[in-house]
Amino acid sequence: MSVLELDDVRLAVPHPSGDRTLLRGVSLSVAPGEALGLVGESGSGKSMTLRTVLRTEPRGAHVAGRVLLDGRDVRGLGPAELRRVRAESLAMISQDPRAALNPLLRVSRFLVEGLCDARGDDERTATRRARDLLAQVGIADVDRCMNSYPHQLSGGMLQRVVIAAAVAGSPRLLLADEPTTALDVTTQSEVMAILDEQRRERGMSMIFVTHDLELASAVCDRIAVMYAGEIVEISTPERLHAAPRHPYTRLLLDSRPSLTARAPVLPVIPGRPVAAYEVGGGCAFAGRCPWSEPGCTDGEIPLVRDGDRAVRCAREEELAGELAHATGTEATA
Amino acid sequence: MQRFVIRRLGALAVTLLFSSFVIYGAMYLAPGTPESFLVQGRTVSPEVLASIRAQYGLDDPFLLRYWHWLTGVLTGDLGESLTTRQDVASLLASRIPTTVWLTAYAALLIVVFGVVAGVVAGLRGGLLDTAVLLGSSVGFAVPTFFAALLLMSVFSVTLGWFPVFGAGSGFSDRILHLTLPAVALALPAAAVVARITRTAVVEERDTEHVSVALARGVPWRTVARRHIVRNAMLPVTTIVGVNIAALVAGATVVEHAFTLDGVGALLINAVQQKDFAVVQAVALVLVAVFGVVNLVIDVLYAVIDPRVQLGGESA
Ligand SMILES: Nc1ncnc2c1ncn2[C@@H]1O[C@H](COP(=O)(O)OP(=O)(O)O)[C@@H](O)[C@H]1O
Ligand code: SF4
Ligand SMILES: [Mg+2]
Repeated sequence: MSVLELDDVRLAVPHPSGDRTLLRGVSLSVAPGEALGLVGESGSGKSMTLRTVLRTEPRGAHVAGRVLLDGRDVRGLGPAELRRVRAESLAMISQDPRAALNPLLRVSRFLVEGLCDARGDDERTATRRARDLLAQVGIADVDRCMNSYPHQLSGGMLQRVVIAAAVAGSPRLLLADEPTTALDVTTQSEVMAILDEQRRERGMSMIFVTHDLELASAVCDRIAVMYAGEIVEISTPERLHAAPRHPYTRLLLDSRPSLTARAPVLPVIPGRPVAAYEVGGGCAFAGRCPWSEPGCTDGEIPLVRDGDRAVRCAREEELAGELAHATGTEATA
Repeated sequence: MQRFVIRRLGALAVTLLFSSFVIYGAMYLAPGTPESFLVQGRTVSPEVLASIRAQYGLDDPFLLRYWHWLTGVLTGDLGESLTTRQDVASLLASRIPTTVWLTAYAALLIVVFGVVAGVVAGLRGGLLDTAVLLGSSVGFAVPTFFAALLLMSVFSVTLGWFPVFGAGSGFSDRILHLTLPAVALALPAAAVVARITRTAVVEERDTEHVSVALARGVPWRTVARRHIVRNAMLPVTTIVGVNIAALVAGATVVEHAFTLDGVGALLINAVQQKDFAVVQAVALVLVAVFGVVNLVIDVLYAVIDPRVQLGGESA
């Protein structure tokens, strides 16, 4: 059974001019021990998808669909059960570790709190465990780190603390939302390696959110590509690179910064990303898709599954061959 | 911390020195002369007037008189009252307890009603929140003197629950006598504090670290206490401090309205009678109290917020 299964999750937030749809039916699953990459441009709804799992969506949001964690729908949990699930089965690592910790409290309090107040461990055991965890995430001076206040530590150190706290209770599922984006380049790969190692050691599943397709490909078993509040393609990194099935994935691959030649200006996908609530009928990507045809804007386009991959494109079969090759200059702005 | 306190005390001494000069000088710029009060409107011969001026040193140059006064103050000699011939230091000492009790009582009311009401309103929301918002608007809008009269007429005159005037003696009698004055004094400040506390709590509730703590399964009560209220106390400490320091000034109005024999009432009388020595001494004490309260607030702030580095440049 999947650790997590999202079944047609829709989310809308109230807005003066009527409700705004942010998620238009997200379906995905994460197997035990699997890392699923969630990739897409900023604003496509990646963070919002994670928030429906933790139930931390904006106040007043309407959420429909099922979010099954080990077969149990977290959307229907009562307050006490929800708190238990959050304490024991889920852990979140967000983009900005500096915002995640209370600036007035020591690091030790942050770590111990998650074990002690959230899970009911006794304080001494929790403290010992916190120290072990800090050592495991590569912090040399554990005493100093425990006694530090957040403003005394670097972003990289803080994110290690957050990772230590996240894996502390060996949750079933890690939700990592661009965990390295806010760090400086030199510590990014270090922190990423620690996260990957900790997760693998403990056999935890993970949803890894990033806008960096390369990074997701390096650490994830499968990748889901998101666009305008829905998933347009799911595949393994290898197949995604070798033969993307969705035009958006193709353009994402072509627009990634080259690792060898660091281009000063990143090639980008032409056109503006559309928000989920702006999508009318038909394909959300039609406005920017070089392969769009009049038929693409008729009716809903379903996510068609084919083994362990899935694509949402009306012309998927005709384009299969063409999309296997880079588009060259066409995609560069 | 120690070095910080010493430095701040030094700064306070400089402030006091400067204030003493301003206070002393201001009395000479004010209309009316002390000797005209001393003769109480009687017609006196120029010789008598001259002897009075000589007795009080009124003919000495300004700076010399200031110097005499200042050295006196530094040795604890605040001079004697021009009207009653009493020693100003002992006069002050007899008046201080009432004012200390009154302001301490009012400060307690500010903390209890202002801070607690603000915290509850911010955490709970709903009807309680509306009630606190409404109450604080009223509390803030009513002038202290009017509040004093209103409280007196309702609770003392009509209901007879509290005595109309006097400061009382002994603990419980004092509390009884000072309740209405303290309420009148605390009302506007408690209203402001409640407002600001509420806003601080609501803002803190929406911070990421709070939603992170909740998303980790930390119980709401713990999050409210450890993360929301604690952090909200940063702005609240400042505003409570400013308001408590300001009580010392507000006390004059209330003491006058309730005919309490405090320092404030002493000041008002002394000003009306141009009793230089008393006005100068009281003004100096007020400045000192204001400075000390602010110092305490700054230390408290640094205790709450580890990012504030005392004694050095703040981080
Ligand atoms: N609290 C919120 N209220 C309303 N809309 C929001 C809120 N947070 C994010 N959004 C909108 O939801 C959309 C998806 O946001 P998000 O999930 O954060 O995107 P991503 O993580 O993929 O960059 C964006 O258009 C964003 O503007
Ligand atoms: S459905 Fe049409 S417009 Fe949409 S991605 Fe496929 S080809 Fe492009
Ligand atoms: Mg995001």
